[in-house]
Amino acid sequence: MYEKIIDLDRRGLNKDKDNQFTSEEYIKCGKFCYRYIHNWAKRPQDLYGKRFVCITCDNNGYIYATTNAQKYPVAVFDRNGNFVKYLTLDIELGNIHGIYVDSKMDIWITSTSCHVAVKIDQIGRIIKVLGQYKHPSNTGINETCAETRLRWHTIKRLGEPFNGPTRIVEANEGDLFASDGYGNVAVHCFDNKGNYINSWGGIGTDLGKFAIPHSIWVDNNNRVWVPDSELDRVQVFSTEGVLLKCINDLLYPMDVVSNNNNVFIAEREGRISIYDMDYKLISQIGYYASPYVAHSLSVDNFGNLYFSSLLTELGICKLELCE
Amino acid sequence: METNKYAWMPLTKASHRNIKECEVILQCGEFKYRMIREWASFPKEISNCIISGVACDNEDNVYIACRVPKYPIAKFDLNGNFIKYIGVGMDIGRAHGISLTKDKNIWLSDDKYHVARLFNQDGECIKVLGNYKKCSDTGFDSSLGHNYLAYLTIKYLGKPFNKPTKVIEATDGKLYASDGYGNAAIHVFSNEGELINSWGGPGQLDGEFNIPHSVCVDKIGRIWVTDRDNNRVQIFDKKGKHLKTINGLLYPAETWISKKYAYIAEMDGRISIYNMMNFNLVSQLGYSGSLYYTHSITGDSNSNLYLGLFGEYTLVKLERI
Repeated sequence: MYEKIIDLDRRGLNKDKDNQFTSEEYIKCGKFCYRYIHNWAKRPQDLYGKRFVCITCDNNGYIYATTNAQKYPVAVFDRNGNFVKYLTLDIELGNIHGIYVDSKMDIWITSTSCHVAVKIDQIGRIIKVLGQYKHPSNTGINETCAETRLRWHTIKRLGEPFNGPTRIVEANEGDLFASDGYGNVAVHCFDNKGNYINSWGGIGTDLGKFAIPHSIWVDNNNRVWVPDSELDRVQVFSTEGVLLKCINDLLYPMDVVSNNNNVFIAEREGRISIYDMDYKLISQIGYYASPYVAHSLSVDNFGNLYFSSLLTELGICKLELCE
Repeated sequence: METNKYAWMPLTKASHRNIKECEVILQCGEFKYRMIREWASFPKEISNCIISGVACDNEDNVYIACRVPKYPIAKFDLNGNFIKYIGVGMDIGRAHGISLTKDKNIWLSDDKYHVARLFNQDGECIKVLGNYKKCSDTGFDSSLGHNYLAYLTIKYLGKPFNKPTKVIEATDGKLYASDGYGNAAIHVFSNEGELINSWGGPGQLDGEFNIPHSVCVDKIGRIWVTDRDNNRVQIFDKKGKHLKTINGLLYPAETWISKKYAYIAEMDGRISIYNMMNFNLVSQLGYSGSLYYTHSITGDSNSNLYLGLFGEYTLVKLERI
């Protein structure tokens, strides 16, 4: 339709194309005002052309991201966007998805292709593995179904951990909750030692069921938030699996994160919806075809948002909270 | 073939309705704008059209050149309300740049039929420049169609026209034409349409062009040529003497000049703002790869900017605040 004259793969990364003057972009809705900074994390050379998959923050202002670079599965940046380190792992983990830093500064990551959740320390040593390495649980899913996004329709039952787990996070007492995932329709609960406790979910559009639980988050009130992307909804559960709330009419929610005051839902269509702790929608950051297209979202101690962009060349973007 | 920058197909604009609308501000230095995504209400004949050119008259009405068969030009008031179509039913090959004359007539260039037409406010075509459906000889290989490197086949400066991009009227009444995708020329005509002079030629040296995509004139009579595939804008005096080159642009498409500043719209996603007297860069909005894939730009008397974009939004207003 248009004469495409620009090399898409190099947009946003070529130094010759840097501005002499920095253009500032602000986005305001309600009492929230953010400054949008694209490609905020300063990528080292090895990560040029690679994608940041999922992202999280720790309590010290460091930002951790999983990548699709096999040699550098986890990259860490500081609060100024400077690259700090890679974490390289002793075992091959294939497609790494969600990441989370727990209260002891250990890091949980999941692999959707090796069907495990792995806890590693700050230098990449493996502390714990949950699930059966390279052995997906039996959910009846038809792996040969070509259309990945429609594969979930073939799931027949809720399976045990894991089949394509998307994320694992810690709740307030140290219990672990995992969203599972691309090949399953479950939330699993483990105790703080990794012992399996229970699961809930099942396939479908009914309340309490899932299509693809794409991520998971436990807020400060110990409520478990699960974005069910294909069904445009986020369901909120107690830690026992009792459904507390279903937020509908979202636009393909990918991730949920919270701080003391607010819950943030990242929607693939280019929006972050902000709620108070009583589920009331108070702000929406974004618009049709905006660049705020997040695969994964995180918030730091100052209320700044970070997301891994679905537009690969935009990398890790920051929405800096303004006064 | 356009490749979708998304790995998925976004939902339509209609289904993406915020419950809480947000405000987007672009700022650099003293230049601060509110970005208004859906400023104009498009009537159904031209909804989702490709906009090839934008222009403002002295009452701040906004004119757009649409690539819609039979509806080449649409006029909106300063609040974005549709006023009327101009030139309905006219067979336009492919609309490109648009400009207003001091009598509020409208020049529209046609880069497929190799002409530029002057319309009055009643939509009548009152003048034509160029030879209808006949391109001039420049060595250009027209069989290459819209291949973006086709301009490399241009061998020499040709007469008017070969895929002309824009025609403007200067304050003394003379007409300047940038010509174009199949030529490497700036032509000067008398107000009656008689050719006075041409300059240019394919290449990268001063006074040469690789796709003169647009032309405009400033308040002291200098001619600014947006030399797109050389990533530069060249400034000449009325007679074609080269005065200055602004380099370092990213596929510049069009320049709009106010009393103080020149706003250069770059298709890679940026608007670079220069002091129009001393050519100093003072501000930049957007960045390489932003959604501001701007093909045309104009401004009104309050320094608001109107951008004709290729992309999900076609007409965006940057309201000066």
